[in-house]
Amino acid sequence: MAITLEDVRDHVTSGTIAELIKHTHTSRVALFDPMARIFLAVQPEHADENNRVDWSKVQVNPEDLEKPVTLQDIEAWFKTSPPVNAVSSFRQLFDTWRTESPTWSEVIQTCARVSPMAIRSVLPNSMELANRQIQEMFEGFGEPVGRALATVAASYNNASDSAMVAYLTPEAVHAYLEGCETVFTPNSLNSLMRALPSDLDLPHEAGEVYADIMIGLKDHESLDDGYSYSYRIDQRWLDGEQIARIVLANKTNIERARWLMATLAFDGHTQAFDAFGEILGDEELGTDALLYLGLGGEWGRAVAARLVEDEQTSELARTHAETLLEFEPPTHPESDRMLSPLLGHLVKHHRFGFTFDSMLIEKALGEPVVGTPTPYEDLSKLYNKQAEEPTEQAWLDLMWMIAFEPGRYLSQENYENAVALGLLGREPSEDELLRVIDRLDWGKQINSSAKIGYGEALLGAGASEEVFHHAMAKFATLQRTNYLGYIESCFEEPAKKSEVPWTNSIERLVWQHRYDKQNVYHTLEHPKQFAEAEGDGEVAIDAPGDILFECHISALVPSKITVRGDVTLSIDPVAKTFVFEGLPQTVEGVLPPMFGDSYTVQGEIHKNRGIFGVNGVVIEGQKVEDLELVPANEKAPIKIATLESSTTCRITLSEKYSETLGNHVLSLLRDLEDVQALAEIRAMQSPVAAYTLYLFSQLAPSDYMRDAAMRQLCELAELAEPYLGEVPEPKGPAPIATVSFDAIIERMQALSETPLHQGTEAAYMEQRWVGFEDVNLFPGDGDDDDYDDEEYDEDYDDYDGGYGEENYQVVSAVMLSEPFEDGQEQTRPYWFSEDGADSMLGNFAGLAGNGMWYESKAYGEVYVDEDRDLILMDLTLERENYDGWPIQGGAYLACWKCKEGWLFASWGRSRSELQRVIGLDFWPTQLQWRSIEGWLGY
Amino acid sequence: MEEFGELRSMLHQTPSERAFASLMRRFERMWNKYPARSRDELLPYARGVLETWPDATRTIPGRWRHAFWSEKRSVPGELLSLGKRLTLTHEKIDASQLEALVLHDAGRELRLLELTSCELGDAHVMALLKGSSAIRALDLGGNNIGSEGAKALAESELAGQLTSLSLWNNALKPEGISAIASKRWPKLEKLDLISTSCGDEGAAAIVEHFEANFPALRELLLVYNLFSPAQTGHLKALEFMRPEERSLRVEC
Repeated sequence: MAITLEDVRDHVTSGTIAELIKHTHTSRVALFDPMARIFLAVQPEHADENNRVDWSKVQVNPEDLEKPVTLQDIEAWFKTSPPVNAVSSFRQLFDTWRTESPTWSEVIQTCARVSPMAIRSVLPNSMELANRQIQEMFEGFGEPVGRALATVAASYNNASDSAMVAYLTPEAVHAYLEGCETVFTPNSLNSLMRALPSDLDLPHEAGEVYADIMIGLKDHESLDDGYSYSYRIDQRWLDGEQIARIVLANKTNIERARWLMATLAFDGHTQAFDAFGEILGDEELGTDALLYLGLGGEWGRAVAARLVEDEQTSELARTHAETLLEFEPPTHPESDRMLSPLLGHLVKHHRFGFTFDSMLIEKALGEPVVGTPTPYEDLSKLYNKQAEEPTEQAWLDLMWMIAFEPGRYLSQENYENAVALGLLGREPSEDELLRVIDRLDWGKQINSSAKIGYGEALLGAGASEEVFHHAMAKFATLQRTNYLGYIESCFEEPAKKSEVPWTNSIERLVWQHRYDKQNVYHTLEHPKQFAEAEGDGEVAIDAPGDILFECHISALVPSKITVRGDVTLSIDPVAKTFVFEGLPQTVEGVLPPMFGDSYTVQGEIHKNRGIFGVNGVVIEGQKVEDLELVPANEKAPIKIATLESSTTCRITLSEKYSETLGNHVLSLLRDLEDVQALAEIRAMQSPVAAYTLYLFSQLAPSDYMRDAAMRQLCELAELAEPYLGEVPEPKGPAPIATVSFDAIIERMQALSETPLHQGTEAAYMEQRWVGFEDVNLFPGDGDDDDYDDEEYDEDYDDYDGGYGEENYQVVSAVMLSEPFEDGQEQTRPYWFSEDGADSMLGNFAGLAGNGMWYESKAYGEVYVDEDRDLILMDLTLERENYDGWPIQGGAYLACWKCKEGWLFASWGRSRSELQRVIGLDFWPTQLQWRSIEGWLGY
Repeated sequence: MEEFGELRSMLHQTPSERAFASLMRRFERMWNKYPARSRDELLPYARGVLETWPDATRTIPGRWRHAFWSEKRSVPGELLSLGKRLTLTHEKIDASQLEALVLHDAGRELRLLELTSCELGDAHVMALLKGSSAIRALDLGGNNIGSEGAKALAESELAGQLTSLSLWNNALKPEGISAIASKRWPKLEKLDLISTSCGDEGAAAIVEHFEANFPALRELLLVYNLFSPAQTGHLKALEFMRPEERSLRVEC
């Protein structure tokens, strides 16, 4: 039962205040003033050394108990530096339901001003932030709250308030940054910046502070000599000058400076190119900056042009800029946009425009219709999953209880408070559901231990599909933390269980939410639309192979969309289903929610892959592979066909750029010796790939890279002509020289300072071999000077089956698996046949040294090159360890030939080392592999 | 030059603490880039315009706060002197640092000084009083200042010039309070003595000297001092001694 004023008076007069304190929260509605008076009587001397309050020492004048507590009273109390524990308990008197002064917000702001060290005790904790009312309260906090948090952070030398600060106002965030200027580590700064929403309107000066912090951190002990992933520039609130200041401050560490520039270029912010312009006149980094401006397409070129015109530009910068303007980049054949390898990152369209807030129901709500509250006992049963046939009223009342007391157990006292506030007994209606949804805390559930999510309660209270969607949208817009499993248990599972007809669309939305969380992009701009076609009942338009398209169908009638010849996507908006046909496998699925009286279908196709969506939501079975390739200079029609001639069909086409190309360039920029990345760029076989190679052949910082880029450019034949003035003769992959087995041994020995292991009978294979490890020893059975055979025999009972200690290292060795008889070359092994590559996996486990992986799963990619007599595999190995935990490993396998016969390699060491042993100029490019999956048995 | 024009226009924005911080950061960058022109042309102009800004908005930016005594962050003294308010909280400060502050050219020109919870004792107060000062509002709350510090303050020139004095949460004790009460504070409008171990004796001294020594006082804060009901009554009675146009609020 709730306590009364008389109870409070009795405890105060009898010196048993401690009994009252546990009722602080539940008494906040009816007894705010008396309870607050008790706290305001707590003084520092009432606490022990651990800050625990000895309530028997606290003296309260009973006559003061009913005196209204003002904000000034609280301010005066804060000035006495009350014990932190008392402040934390005092804070239990406040929540966002309290509207009269002193409000929670006022108390927090007062505390920030006069007792900043107690600020964390009065703020909500980081688990309470997914609530609209709390977020709105944060929007009212200015500079003092940010500064107070910084004061605490500085005092503890730990700026770890990112979750909280992310909801503050720009002024408060600015103050926090400034106050923690000397406290940040690269990690804590990174963590804070990641948490800040992009639409936060931080002032220019905050960028100055951030730049100063970054420069101050450049020598931080947590950064190693190479590039550190935690040290990167968040340029969202910086201008080019500020960015350049940070980069140039790091130029004594050229690797670091390059790492910063590489990440800047791909972040989707134009100011990165302004920064490269600022750096262009620098003696050390100017040429790197020139390369970046060249890669930056229209944005880089605009900066170069501006610098040439500016009289203030230094001579070096001007020379560089003029050099760049002499280049002639290719343009997109349709949109005429200047091409850049970065476009895949800078112009993205992965999501088809769907946003959860489009499902919010915005309307004026009517007044609540007051009825009879559900009895506490009935709510308690429902809360504990013991109610048999709960009413809509009961579910609604339970939701109001949880909205009122998020994260707390249902109790009689809480119930009485909710009744006193008139929250219970309201008539279930759409308006009332919208009202309660607006008050929910999206980090909580109805009852997490009984696994009752909000979704179950909403359905129980009679929520319609639209209201359910509205709730999901509220969740998606208010909850910034990605709690694994929350959205599923909150919405998807209850929908499935209830079997509402719109369950499938909920599943799609849940999937979309996960997808959005995993694919966060910053883009400079969206792709340009360059063509459009419209027709009655049907329409078609020719489209390039790589394309973004959107189809608009003006009525909810079935339609069939055809792409790349004969791949069709049939949509039935009434049955809410779709079917993909014309692929190796037919894919069927359900549609996301259908709103209004029309619908859209989106597609993004690149090379032989596509991803599709309906109404902006990516659909099930979305990843379509094995589409027929369309050559770069050819087109394939996209068609919409309906059976209703009164339906208007419209198709729009927009640019599609390769993100993969951008990734290869990023990889190259992060390691300017990585010639493999040049090969990957060449393999993209596009005009922009050719231009990229040309840029590197002219502007890369080293001769080595310039030469390597030129070699790759020459492999592109006609695509290279604009830059070379003629069509070069591609040389193709360099042949693999057939050397003796001894030469292989020499190559391997060159990789190690210790002698290799060799033998003539490799385990079960009985073949000649050489390795860095003994292929015949089970893992863990290696040489041990102190090893005693006799002791081993005595301990035989403990023998664990030959595996010894757990050692998941894959053996790196080469074996002469099929010697040529009489020195005569024989036909290629069966592995080269169409279905034979899988059987190569058997050889892996044939080596005793790989015994830990026997019968494990292996999956990855295989490259079969009949011209060069070469098979390569890049595998991930998967098995359980002896405790049942999954473990993973990696291995390369290879087959090629030497003078004496066919070789087999099992390789746990680096790829580049295997490349050298084989004598391979480049590793095959990503597009040349196909997937493989099998078991590592015999 | 465009940058100078931009800075000039910043001087004419709505005054605020944040605006002043931005202005100073920009000014510092300009000073480093064009020292002569900044000093000779911009500084006099800025001084003139900033006189129209309220003192409370002219807060020394966070990163300059230690520039009065530390060479780690050197700031041109001329720029520092544009700030009129210094706030430091929950930072331990040495007496020698305070001495450096008041002897610093820019320190002498401060008008609002807030050093709260900085572990200041009586020696710090003595150090603070070593130089002449333009301080009008002084907040030394949350420190360890005792009766000696209070006496020193009362004896100093500050008594004649302060409009606001906050000594909350310092153990001034009745002797310290009496020392304050027995001196004339002709301009003092706000006196915050919350939680100062004032006691009835200290309160009595305030009541006794109130009319003579606190002619301008509008706000007297004395809560958390464990007064007897009688003394509380005497203190509250002060509110009725004032004519309406000089109304007084007493919290006790």
